[in-house]
Amino acid sequence: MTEQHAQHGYWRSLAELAGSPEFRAQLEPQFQEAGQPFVSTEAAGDVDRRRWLQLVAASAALASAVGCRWEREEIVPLAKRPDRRVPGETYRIATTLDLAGDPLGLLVTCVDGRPIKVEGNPLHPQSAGGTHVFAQAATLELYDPDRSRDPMERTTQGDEIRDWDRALAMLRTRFDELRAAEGAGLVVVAGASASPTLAFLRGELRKAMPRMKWLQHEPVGPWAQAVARYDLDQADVIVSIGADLFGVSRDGVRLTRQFAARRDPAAGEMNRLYVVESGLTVTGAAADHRVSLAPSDLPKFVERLSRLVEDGRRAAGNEGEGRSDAQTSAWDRWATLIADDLRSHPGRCVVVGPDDPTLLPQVARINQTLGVIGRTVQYYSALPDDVQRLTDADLDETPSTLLILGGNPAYDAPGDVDVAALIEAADCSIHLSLYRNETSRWCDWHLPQAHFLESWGDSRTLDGVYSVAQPTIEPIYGGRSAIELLAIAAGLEQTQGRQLVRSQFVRLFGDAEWERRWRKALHDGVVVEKRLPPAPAVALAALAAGGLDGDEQAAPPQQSSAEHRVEVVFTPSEGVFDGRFANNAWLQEFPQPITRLTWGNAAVMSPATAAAIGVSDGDVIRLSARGNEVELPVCLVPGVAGGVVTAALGYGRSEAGRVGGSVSAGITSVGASVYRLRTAEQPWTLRGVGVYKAGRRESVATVQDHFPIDATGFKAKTGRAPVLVRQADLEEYRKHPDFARHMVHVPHQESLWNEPEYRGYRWAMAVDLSKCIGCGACVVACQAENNIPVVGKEQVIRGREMHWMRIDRYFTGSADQPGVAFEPMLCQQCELAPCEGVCPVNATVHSSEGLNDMVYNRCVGTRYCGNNCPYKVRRFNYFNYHKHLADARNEVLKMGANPEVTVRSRGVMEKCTYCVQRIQAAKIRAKNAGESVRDGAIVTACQQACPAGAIVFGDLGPADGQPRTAVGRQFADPRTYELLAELNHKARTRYMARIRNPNPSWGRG
Amino acid sequence: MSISEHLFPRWVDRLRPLAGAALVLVPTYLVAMVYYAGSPTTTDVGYSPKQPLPFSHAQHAGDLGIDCRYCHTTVGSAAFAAVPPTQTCMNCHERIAADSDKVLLVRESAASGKPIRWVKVHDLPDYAYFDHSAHVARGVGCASCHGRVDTMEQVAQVERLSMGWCLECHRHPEPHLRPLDAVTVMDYQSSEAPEVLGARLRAQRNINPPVDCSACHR
Repeated sequence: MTEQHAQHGYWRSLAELAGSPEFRAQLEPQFQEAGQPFVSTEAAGDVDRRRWLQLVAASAALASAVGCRWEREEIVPLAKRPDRRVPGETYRIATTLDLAGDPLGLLVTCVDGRPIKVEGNPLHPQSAGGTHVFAQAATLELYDPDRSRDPMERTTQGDEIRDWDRALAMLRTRFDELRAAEGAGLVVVAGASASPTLAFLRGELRKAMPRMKWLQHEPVGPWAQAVARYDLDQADVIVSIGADLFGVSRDGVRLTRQFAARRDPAAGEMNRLYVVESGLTVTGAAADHRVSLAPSDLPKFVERLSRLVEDGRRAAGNEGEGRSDAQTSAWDRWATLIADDLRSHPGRCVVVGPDDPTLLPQVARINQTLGVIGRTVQYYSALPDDVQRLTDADLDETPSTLLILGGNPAYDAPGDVDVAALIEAADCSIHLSLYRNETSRWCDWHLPQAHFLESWGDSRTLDGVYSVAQPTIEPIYGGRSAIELLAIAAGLEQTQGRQLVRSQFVRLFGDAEWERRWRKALHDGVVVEKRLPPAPAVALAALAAGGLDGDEQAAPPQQSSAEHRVEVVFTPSEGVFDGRFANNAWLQEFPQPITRLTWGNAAVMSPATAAAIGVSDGDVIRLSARGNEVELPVCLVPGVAGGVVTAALGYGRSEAGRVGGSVSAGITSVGASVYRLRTAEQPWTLRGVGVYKAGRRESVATVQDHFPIDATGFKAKTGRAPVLVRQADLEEYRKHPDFARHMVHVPHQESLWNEPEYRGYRWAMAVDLSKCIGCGACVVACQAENNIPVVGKEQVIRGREMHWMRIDRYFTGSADQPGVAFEPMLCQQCELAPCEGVCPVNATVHSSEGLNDMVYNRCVGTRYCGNNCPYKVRRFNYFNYHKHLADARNEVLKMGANPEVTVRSRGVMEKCTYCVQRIQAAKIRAKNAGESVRDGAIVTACQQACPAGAIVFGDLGPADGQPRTAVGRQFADPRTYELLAELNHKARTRYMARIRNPNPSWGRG
Repeated sequence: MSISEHLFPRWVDRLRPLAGAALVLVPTYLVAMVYYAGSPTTTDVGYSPKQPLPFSHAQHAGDLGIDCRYCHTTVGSAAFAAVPPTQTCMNCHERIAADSDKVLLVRESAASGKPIRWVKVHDLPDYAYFDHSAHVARGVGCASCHGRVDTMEQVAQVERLSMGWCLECHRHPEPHLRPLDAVTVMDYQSSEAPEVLGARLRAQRNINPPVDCSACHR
């Protein structure tokens, strides 16, 4: 341990904790490889410096010979301009993303008819303005050139392109025949959906074909018999058991907002979060108390908690068979403390259970005892009445027609369900899908699906809020939506998406006012003033009569050769969800919050587990169960329960596209698929999985040690070690609200430079670490807003990722029971910026409003600024990362770029400028109206995406006097501190210390 | 190793006159390059591309006195002063000169819905973000940047549109400020000296043109 750790106890990674040479290398000046042989991405071989200079000279000579005339540009106005369309100005369209049955209201920013940015809809209760990473990356998926363009038929001669007329004629004939047979032999497979129109059409189809089977397949669940809808507004105590509330979960955006709203110690009573989990999730990182337990121990813990809550008795100690007494008593103590806390907040607490058919009813019973069902939690049926789960379906006869609406069951069904065989057995299989994916390749027909940003739809939350989905652009590749296809299949007269959705709206809101309401719904995206009846609740707690009977999972037959056995926990990927976003480069390169991995998945385990197996970071292991094997590189994360490996689903796609991997095109898959290990019985955990060393290593693209702020170096240089993340318990905060400002002594310093005076706006940002849960929606939002390129796995490994915003993840405490803290890091917009003084060409200069402007045209790429930035927030374009856009096939991607932001080329430095394009737009708008910019009128992309409301941006106002703006008040808050204040940079980005609300009795023995 | 190996070989002497010539030519070349870079050829002053149809601003804005904003409707509220849709042309040309060959392309466009492909004259680099509304709403006259468009048969660029040219006005906007109702007047003459009027208007409207890089470059 270095002295710095001993002093403050924050560490970014195990490498830092151990003070490894690799981490020390990262602390060297940012651009270590300067002067080293230059290696091109194409791996054309090493080019030494002299040769490189010769090449540069030659290309400069060529460039000057070309001359400097502008290219001839054209202005092509529309022949007929739609009403109120202003060329070049943005406008917004309200729509809804229905991700696996979890609706999220969105406002899509468009310019000249093309959607460029997705924001949350403040009116939609699931979003309230916030979004998750998947919504932020939707535009890249929309324009993905790898999406399928034409219907395809698999014939004996191979795959043939058909036109839509022929495909629809086939569909009509097929369904006419089926109608005559009352639908016998028809099987429809679809994902979860919250759409009332889809539900109606399912009913219509059933009316016409009563003998059809409708199967639901959603790899990320729900797998339990019910889904829970939590309401954390009124919950003072939240206990989460085996669930990832704020991560990739149902209602994640809303739950994050509700949780974060009560994490400001000055704004009222804070809530308290207990997390019991096997892996380490963002929910666990946000917890006030976290207990890591293997999945096989969770039922016993729930049982104990249940007894303690019910009668307050201390649970008998004989549950911990095979456990040491110390372990049992620790469990007892934790369960007792949690139960006491729950009991002392009757009606104002909630226990969150996992998506597990045995445990969820038991947890529901605890909630019933606590009297919170209907208040902080409600349970709803996981499936509509006439729908079965694909994995539960009893297909007594081979389907004659298989209609698969979206999804990719041939890839993402559990290993013990052979979907490919089912498709092969059917006489005719039809797959509607965005991509020609693994499933499409088995089917007789593949039909291109319209993206949700191209199609009409609707959704209804469990508590009855209706929202509409409307197209933001015509289908680029001519696809059709699931409801349009269903309407054709059901033989309806209306088959246009808009008509279908509107007719359903009339059925739902069929009063005299429906037309006015429809127009308003199209504008707002959501019907606020009238709620539909909520979905029928289910009495889940009644199912939990039995105790531990059902939860004992039969261990698989022992495999004699396995030296080590682990329990595997499957998690949806924080990047690619269930694999459907595998071809989205933003999401592949998105650093997953806890592991900080990009471009792939890993076997995540604790250092102790790894030591027992005898592997370390990057070693490849083979997980083996029931004859299925998966090879994954090891990624060490402290805090994962002992003997547990967590593995993200959704990787290892064999037919995703040019980004995610495509066997047919010879492109390697990203990561490895762990779906094969999954079983329909136990989709989330698997016990007794054999672990073998594969005997090789694989480089994983983790960004966890990239761009570290050199705390150790500062200690050496200035004799002080900075405290980057500052946090305290509520008790300490109450005694010393300004503790954060006194953690480091900052002497009064005089600047060597002339300090500028600011008379106008003073832009500033405050980030509340108490609210931030590290989800990373801001990172992708920033990427979408600022045309930030993707660099690919190889470049990420070299530390060249381009994200202007990163979320530093720090651990505190020991490697066994670490605390986790996140710190979003972006340009601090220092008033006395160290980057500016060292730029030889004045490419980075200060604006009169305090922004650290970056002038790409002046930049010659010396990278001095990056080296002199103590926060390491500057990014350098090592290559022309937009080169692929010159390829005609990829040109469509240009449509998604933000026209208000320059696309940077090779050799240029870039960094966050507080979304200066949004600042300028708001200033011009205000000036034209003769006003000054209203507080809150400028919302940066990161701030807008943040589901927790952790980021506040605005004008600080005059330096003297009372703060009158939101950010001004945040700056005046005693919790607010400046990062590396001892360097006297006068940063405009400040952080509000994280306050935790632990149980006072927890630490006392 | 003899000392001669470190000396220039004898044939180098023949290069002496060439070195003399280079001494003269290189500085001349450099001066010429700098001059060329700032010359109208490079800054495109006078650039007047042939348009797909012979639309005459001299006739429409000059002789007929149609206000700029009749066609360029968005100039006061948006970044782009939109070139009008064909529909706008057809407002008049449905009846006026309806059979003329000159408006053939307009009629075709209106009938087919296919846009007319005009050639851009005032073309700023893509990394410069200019906003018309910010200037028009402050009272900068159209003619200040575009010249006397009402006298042009075919629109030509009259100003340099270089960064130095932009900054001249951003640092000293007074000569270009007018009352708001006179922004589109092509031959505007104020009753008082432009400097005096400009100074008054500047104070009145609190005009402080930004000179920060990020005002135009993002």
